[in-house]
Amino acid sequence: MAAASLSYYCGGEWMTFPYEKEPRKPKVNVTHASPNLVKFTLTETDVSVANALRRIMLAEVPTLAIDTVNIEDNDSVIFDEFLAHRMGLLPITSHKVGDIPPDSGYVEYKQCTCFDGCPYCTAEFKLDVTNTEDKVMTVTHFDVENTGKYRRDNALPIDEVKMVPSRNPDIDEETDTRENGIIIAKLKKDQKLRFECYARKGIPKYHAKFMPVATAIYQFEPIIRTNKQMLDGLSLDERIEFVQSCPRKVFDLDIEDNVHVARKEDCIFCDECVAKAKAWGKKDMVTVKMDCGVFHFTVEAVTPEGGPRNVIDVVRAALRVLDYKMSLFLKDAYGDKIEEWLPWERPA
Amino acid sequence: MSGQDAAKGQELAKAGDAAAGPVAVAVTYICGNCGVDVELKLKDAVRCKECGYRILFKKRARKPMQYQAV
Repeated sequence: MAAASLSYYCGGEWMTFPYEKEPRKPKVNVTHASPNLVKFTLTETDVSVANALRRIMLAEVPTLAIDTVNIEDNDSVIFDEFLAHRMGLLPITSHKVGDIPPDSGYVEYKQCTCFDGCPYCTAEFKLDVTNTEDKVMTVTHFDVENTGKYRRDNALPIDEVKMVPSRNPDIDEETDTRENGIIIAKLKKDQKLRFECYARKGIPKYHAKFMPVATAIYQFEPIIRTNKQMLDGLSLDERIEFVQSCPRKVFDLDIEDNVHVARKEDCIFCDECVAKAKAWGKKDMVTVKMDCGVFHFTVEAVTPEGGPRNVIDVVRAALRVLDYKMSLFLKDAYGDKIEEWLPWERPA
Repeated sequence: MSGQDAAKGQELAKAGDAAAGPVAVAVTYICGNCGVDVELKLKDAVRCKECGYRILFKKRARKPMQYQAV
């Protein structure tokens, strides 16, 4: 986080911020990380920070998406406008797109100083297919290719801007196209589809096609308290009924047939167990509460391979965007001069 | 697209009035019944020359069109 200012405006005059304690230092504990799914626990902070992080992941992490489509030939049954819209929704790899303005990466097209497209704001794609066979042909995102017109001189193969999902080398091309291809249009014999399109940077606030995540949610830590005395007073049949009252199987019977909490993290706060206890007239047998200081996040990418962006990168990008926005606030409100933001590279 | 075409048509019509004669610009349409190409001039009846069908379709413009993917 950017260094917090030590003054604040209160009732007509500037005050010194009454820090009674050290600023909070939120902690992140990653429990699961793969290219398309990350789970982590955020602690030592409150709902405002957790929700800000969630909303930034959903609406302010930039990616690339098709913005303009120049259609030269369209014999398909799909209207040009419809086709352009479908192109816009295709996911495109955006690993080094740049999260905050000081980053090197891509610049938004409107803010770029170039006249009409340059390697720093645009990537050009083209599609040119004609159906020559006497059967229906499916045009998928595999047919769209980067022309390389705006490729940067020092670009590595890994930085190549391309459509995802990419080719699966384990299965043959036809099966891959059928199973993993995103369908753009279908062509009858002699129908033709030819266009070029331009991918540009944007944030999901402008348009949902820029979404880097499919899921970005958090859940509070459940606090489940059971009254052992009351539970031990139940007959075996009642215990089984109690365990089965939970739709997520949070409770279980141990080896001595005592009820215990087996899968706390699965609790969805439905209060079925509490209702069951109430029905038996045992009001305090079980209570379920939320711990509003512990957040279990689940963030999922759009495609299985982690495109448009690797999901762990999305979380880091969201933290950086939050940090950058805080620095803008401090600059506007207090005139703080901040020239350092959270780095992309992990500090040594 | 259609607005432009309409404007163009009006211009052509005006030009035709000024010259007090038919403008020799033929537009190709596709017949809705038999599918042949039908060339129509300004004052021709809207009718297919092969089958007499009265519904004709305009051909798609063969120029590149730019669209925003929104």
